[in-house]
Amino acid sequence: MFPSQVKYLFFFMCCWGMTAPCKAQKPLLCDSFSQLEKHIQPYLDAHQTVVINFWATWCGPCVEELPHFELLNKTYGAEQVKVVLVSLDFKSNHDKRVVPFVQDRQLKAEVLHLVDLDNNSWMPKVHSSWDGALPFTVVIRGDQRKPFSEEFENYTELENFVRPFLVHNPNTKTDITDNSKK
Amino acid sequence: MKQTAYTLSLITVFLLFIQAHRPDAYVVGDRVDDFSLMGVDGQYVSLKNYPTAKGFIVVFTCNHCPYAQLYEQRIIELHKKYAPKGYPVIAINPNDPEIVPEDSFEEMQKRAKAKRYPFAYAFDADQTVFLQFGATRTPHVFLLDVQHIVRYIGAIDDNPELASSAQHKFAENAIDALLRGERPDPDFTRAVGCKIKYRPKVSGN
Repeated sequence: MFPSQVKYLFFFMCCWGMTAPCKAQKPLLCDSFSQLEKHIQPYLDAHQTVVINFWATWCGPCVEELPHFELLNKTYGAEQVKVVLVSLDFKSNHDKRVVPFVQDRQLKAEVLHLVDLDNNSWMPKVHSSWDGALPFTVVIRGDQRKPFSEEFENYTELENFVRPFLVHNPNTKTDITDNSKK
Repeated sequence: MKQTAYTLSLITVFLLFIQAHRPDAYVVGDRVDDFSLMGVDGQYVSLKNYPTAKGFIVVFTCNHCPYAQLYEQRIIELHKKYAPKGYPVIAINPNDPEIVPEDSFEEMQKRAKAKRYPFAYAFDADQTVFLQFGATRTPHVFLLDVQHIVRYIGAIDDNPELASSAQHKFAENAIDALLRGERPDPDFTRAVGCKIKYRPKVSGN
């Protein structure tokens, strides 16, 4: 039916399909903060604990701490903690730097790319204490919101920061009222 | 046991937070204390060394930060435009060179020479001045009037990538307002920048 060369080609394509790594995510470009808010609101409405980390590919300390957020994402899963990594790179670097960075590093936590230059409008909505220095992290659940304006030195530090906000706290299961199943 | 470790870590995080954000840091309307920091030319830099100045454009900036580099030429131009009108730039590097070797005093001297800085570039070696000012990032502008009262804190403009595309030249507008005898509006702006590299000192803090 097919010449043998074509059969070989099919065979190699199938092998490639099986061995190729999972398709990496393509970060969503958000032109405005309201677009980002709309994207995150459903997580908050679902009573999820949301950890938002603001970073940039050019920011050394930000890039250093990304693996801690990846581990947090892997350890807890979106049911317990929704990790959102918000890149503040320039819009012109979306395809040039942000997309390749996310794909090269196979980032699994959701990445959004925010390019809203009206900092004075949107930064205080993230947290009143934040004036724009990177990195910056905020954990949100319901009406609770806690900022962290330093780099997380290690995973434990990040986990300890997030733990009080967990829906199912593995260490103090009985102390936490689960509001998510109302 | 776990609870204790957890409480301790929370306290540590809290202490780090308050050390990095001194509650008594300057806000708009505060009069700043003079400082004496070593400049790249080997002379100490102090406000009192500028007896004819009508005010100052104090900019916390550094060598390594990509955002500081993007604004470097704009800082040079601010000085060239406003020093003759009585508002010189004083640039201060607040970073700990043990964390970022590129921001050492020697590297500051090299960069100031290579880029022909027309303004004073001083080193906050013991990291006390930036904490007193409440600077958090590079670049971070503090505009002072003739009485050394803070009149504006924030960004240079709203387009780090391209100066010519800026919609609002916050720092220039603030200085122009002072030159007209008015209060800057806005007097506080937020901007993306590199977190100042600071390691809390174990003692004497």
